[in-house]
Amino acid sequence: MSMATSNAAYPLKFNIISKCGTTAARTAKMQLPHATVDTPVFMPVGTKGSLKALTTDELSKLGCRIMLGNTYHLEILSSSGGLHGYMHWPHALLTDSGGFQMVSLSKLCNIDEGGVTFTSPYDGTELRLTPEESIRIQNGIGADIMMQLDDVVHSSTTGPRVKEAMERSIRWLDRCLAANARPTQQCLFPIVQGGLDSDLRIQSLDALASRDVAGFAIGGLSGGEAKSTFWRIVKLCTERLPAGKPRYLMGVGLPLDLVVCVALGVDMFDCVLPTRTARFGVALVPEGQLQLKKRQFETDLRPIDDRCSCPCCTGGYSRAYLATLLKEDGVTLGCSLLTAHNVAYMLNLMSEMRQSLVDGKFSEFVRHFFRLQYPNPTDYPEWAVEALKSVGVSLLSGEDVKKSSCNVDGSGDVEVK
Amino acid sequence: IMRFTVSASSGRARLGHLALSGGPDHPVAMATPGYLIYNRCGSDPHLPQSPAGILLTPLNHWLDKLALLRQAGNLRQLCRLRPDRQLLLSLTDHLDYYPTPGVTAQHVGLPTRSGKAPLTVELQAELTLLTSPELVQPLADCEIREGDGRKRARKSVDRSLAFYDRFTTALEQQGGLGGGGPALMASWVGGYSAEERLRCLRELESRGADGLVVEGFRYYNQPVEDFRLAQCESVLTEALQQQQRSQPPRPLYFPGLVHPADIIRAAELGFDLFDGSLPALLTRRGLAWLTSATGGSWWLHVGDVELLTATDRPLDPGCCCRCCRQFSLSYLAHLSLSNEILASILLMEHNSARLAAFFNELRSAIESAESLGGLATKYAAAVVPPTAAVAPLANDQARLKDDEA
Repeated sequence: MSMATSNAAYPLKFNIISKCGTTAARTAKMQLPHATVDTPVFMPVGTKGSLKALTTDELSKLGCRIMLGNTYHLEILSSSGGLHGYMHWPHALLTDSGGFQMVSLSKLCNIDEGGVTFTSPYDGTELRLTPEESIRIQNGIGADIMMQLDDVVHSSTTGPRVKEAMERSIRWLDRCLAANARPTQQCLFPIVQGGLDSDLRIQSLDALASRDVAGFAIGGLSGGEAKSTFWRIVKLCTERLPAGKPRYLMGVGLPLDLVVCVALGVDMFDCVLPTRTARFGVALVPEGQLQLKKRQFETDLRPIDDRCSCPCCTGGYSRAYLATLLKEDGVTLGCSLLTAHNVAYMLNLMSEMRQSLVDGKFSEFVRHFFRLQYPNPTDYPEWAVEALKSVGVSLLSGEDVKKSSCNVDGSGDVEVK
Repeated sequence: IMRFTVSASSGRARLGHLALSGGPDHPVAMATPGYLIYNRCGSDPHLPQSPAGILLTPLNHWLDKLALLRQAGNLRQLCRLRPDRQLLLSLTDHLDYYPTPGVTAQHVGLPTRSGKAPLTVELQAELTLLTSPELVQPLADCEIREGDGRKRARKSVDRSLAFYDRFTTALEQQGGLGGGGPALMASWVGGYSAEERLRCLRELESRGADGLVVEGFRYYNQPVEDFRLAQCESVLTEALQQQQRSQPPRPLYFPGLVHPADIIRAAELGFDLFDGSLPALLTRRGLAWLTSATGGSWWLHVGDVELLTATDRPLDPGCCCRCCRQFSLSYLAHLSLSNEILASILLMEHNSARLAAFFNELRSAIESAESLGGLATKYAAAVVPPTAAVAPLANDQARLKDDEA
């Protein structure tokens, strides 16, 4: 199978501005056809072509310059100038291959070397998705960054299926690269697979890193696996992927996950958390979460967070009034405001991390973040403490320490690369 | 605080100007026939904000939130209402809740999400002070059932007048009337008895009511789209003739009329104000109100798979709202078929703009002394279908429960 031409000009330029002197974190400017994006970056998810109760104008005003988009009506977009125009989103877009959603949403799904056959969750018809078809569709959508179609396996799966999927994904990557009809306008990210097995991961990493691509995605890690394994796999991947290209950790995550994984060297994230929690009346704050529909907020007239500069908090909407709106039938304002706040929170978190990297104070930022989230240090999640220690940040002693390297299975003190 | 002037008339239809002083910096003037802005708990359904105007604020939305209202001490601040918003504190949301039985000499039962709640004169006076509305509808016996006769109609008039008198007294005692206080929009009741309707009108005029709200025609279990003006028009004829002669003119508000042809006919009879609930009613049913009837219909059901191919045109080429300027009909169809909240938001923007255009058209017709009959014929087919006839956009609460990947 031919690889992508190595002299093709990527429509993506990744310039690292500052690196953390302690951890593997770095901040960069990523130039894409529709926007220049500062990394590390959090990408809100607008799966069905819209970001739940928020218009694209509002999202843009919050400072978002790249979002995840996808849609089922793919044929239509080819004729209407792509998803950017359809959604009225002028900035950068990243699309998933459609594989993960289809597999997780449809009832029946068959995978063979050619592709995936499944029933459409939209209208029940049988559909076939091949690497070539996925890229053809994503070319029609026109996103700045496309994902390869991979053979998706849940992180709880063990046994030969994991290896089969990892190896097939490499073959599908090459077919995707060959099928990209717009390589100078849309780049394609491969997805590192291999489940929770470090050997398989290394095989995948080595194969993918040898392809001529603009960036890399790390997949198969947002399915509820043990956190102690999660961070070790992430670190394994970031250590082996080329330093000068962006790393995208798919489907991650909570604010805590973002902070730790930035320290481990990840540049891009996506998660439905801010938008999904808004629909359930949950507000994200530096101290954790507020469940606004609970009794304790019924007469709480404070804004969600008086330090926040989002339209909801600066507009003076109180927790009690938001709770009222959220419980009222036929009113979407509560959901809109809360979505705006939660997205603003995530974008601001990333912005603070980037600034701390520029100022050379990333470790301090990390410690400060943990103190806000967990007033009692004994509550610090063990996995996070270990992960940060492995990149030189000791949460408990307050000082940076010598980095260590750990195997995925937890055995330590392998020589640092 | 309120000034209503009539600038022109065509037959009994009249062009008016309703000015409310919302303080020295924010006077609000509204051209009539016009509409109040439908909302729930201070928010337009689906929209973050809407044009300036008078917010219809039914008390039944707030009776189960008294602790919050008292804690906040000020409804406008709580709801973050912009200074250019004025309030009419009314009794019941005509769109969702039917007037439910439950009136005594001491209280009126209003429907809330958690069941019926009693509104007394004292409570309404307290809430009026907490809200500082420019207009208030004193509590009244608006209850009506099919078959109610003159006796029941008389009782509703007597009770409503008693409530009116006690409310004005209570408000005066609490310092809420006079120069800075709200204008009183009295409930014009009397069931289907022409004599009682006339009596009620005379009594309210002698009390110097600032305006009138027609109540007590829609039966308590009658869906809003089933209620037509023809059901009650003849009862009002004589009383309206009397009303027309009264000076100074007072604004007449007829809530609960949703069909455009009924609004036109009511304007023809001399009514000035309507509730602007049609956009919300249409939006929750996934219907868009078009600038011109297409294929015999004024409404387009946007959640239609056939519309997905309409990538090259907006929902309504004749409309300049944001929905029609920025997005294709295909996108709107896709959003509503996908159960996306943004579908309601965009559809509501469009329908709100369409309602505003309709009222402009109505006022222009009166101004140019055209017969409103022609306009009524034009909109005769614009009949809001009952809920069962159209698959609605998923109820928002149900949508919020939908957990997606």
